[in-house]
Amino acid sequence: MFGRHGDGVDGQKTKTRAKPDTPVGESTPTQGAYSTIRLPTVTLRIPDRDVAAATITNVTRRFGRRWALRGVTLSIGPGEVVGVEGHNGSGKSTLLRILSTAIKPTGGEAQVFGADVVRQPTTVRGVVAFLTHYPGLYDDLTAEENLRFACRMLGVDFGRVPPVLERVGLAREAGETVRTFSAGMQRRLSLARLLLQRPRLLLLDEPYNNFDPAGIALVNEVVREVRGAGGAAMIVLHDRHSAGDLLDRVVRLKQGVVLTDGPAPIVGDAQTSTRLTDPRESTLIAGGAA
Amino acid sequence: MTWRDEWRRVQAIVWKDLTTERRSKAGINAVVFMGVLILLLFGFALGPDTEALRAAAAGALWLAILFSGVLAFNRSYQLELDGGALESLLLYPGSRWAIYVGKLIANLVFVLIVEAIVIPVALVLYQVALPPGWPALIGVTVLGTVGFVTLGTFYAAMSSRSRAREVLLPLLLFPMLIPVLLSAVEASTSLLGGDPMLEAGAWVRLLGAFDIIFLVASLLAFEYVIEV
Repeated sequence: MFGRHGDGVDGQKTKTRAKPDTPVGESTPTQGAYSTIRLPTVTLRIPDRDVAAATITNVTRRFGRRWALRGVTLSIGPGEVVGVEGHNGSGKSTLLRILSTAIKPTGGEAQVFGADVVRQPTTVRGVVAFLTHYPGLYDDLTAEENLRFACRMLGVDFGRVPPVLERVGLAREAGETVRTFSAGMQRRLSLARLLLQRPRLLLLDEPYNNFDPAGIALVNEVVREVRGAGGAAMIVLHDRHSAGDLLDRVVRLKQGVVLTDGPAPIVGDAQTSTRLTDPRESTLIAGGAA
Repeated sequence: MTWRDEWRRVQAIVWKDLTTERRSKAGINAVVFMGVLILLLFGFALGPDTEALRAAAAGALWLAILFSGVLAFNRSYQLELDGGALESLLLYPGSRWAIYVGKLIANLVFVLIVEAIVIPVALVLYQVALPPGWPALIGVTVLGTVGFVTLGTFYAAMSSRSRAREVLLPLLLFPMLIPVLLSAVEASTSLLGGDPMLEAGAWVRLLGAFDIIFLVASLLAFEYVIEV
């Protein structure tokens, strides 16, 4: 009657899309990311616990004659932080790149919050943030210019740049070109770019590389925030100790197949060593991957 | 993503590429130097005969632009490959064609700046006086440049992930440029000679048609060539 939110002109309830302060592409009902519950005067947005943050079904990927992934099946629930471990060449980064839409799987299917990575890549890119091995920055632009460029590409207001730079500890270096930055500073700036996006699925490929203890704490803080907001994270790591108690699950890959997938052991727990010497690993080494 | 969103992304890429180039200046110095050097070498090869120089001026100028422009296209994607920025660029939400259009406009501005320096040098070296129809000559130059840059930006993207991209780009690009080169040289030669046979118009229409075909084809195919 008095322009109540969501009411149609004739007073009937209309199906309106909630307009949260959310990242690009988030929370349309078709993505299945949220259930919209209409009440007479308020709209509640509740994370849909039935929709997995990421679903990977029998995914394979071949580079030339080499198979990087050979039928990986995984599911990551909302609010879950999954560590991915494995030796070099085990397919960890390939798995993340497929979920980020950077590359397409050779076979199988992968979805992020219900959106298929091959058929709906733009939707997926709107909810995923991927911290790669490489900084992905422009050396001749300043730190601030790099983030302003990211803002324009993401459709985000420039106003987010100063607080994000402050948060990653680069506010004083905002006007300096990236060419003058150390590897750790470049890594912080890459992380800052992710923070502009407010992602729902964080894909972090060896995120602790080049970070000092404060930087490691910052990465973990960001992951906790995403998890707290109903998002999820997948972290490729070699050193599980940097993640502390952050991980809910640890998936171990070997030659492109999932070797183990289970709850993360408490840091320093004897299970850590047990998991790393899983009997199936020695079977695979002896008999080759399936 | 609306058209406005995509246009915003195009503008961002143009700004980023031109700002990077303005800061480093390495690209423009190399490309202009290469263009002038090619003009000088052609001049020496043709000898001191003024008539021969004038007759060959348009061809020499376009070849100088083509050879030096290839350096610009390679550099355009090299900026993205350094530090893994290309993957980050491709992972922003939105259409891939916006990346192509952004790169295309940035390269077009860059090559037009190079031409603004190289063309007066060519006119002096080859002792060519500006004809009365010089605005038409500028139009031909712009049309030819659009065709050249359209294909150059497209094939540079295609070869960008190859280790042999410096070699691969000219091998892919030059055969495809023959129609553009032929039309541009013939139209420019006619206009420089005063266009007594009124044949420049036909070449200009052909050039325009090639530009449209190449632009549409590149826009449609870009998404597939940039994928891994």
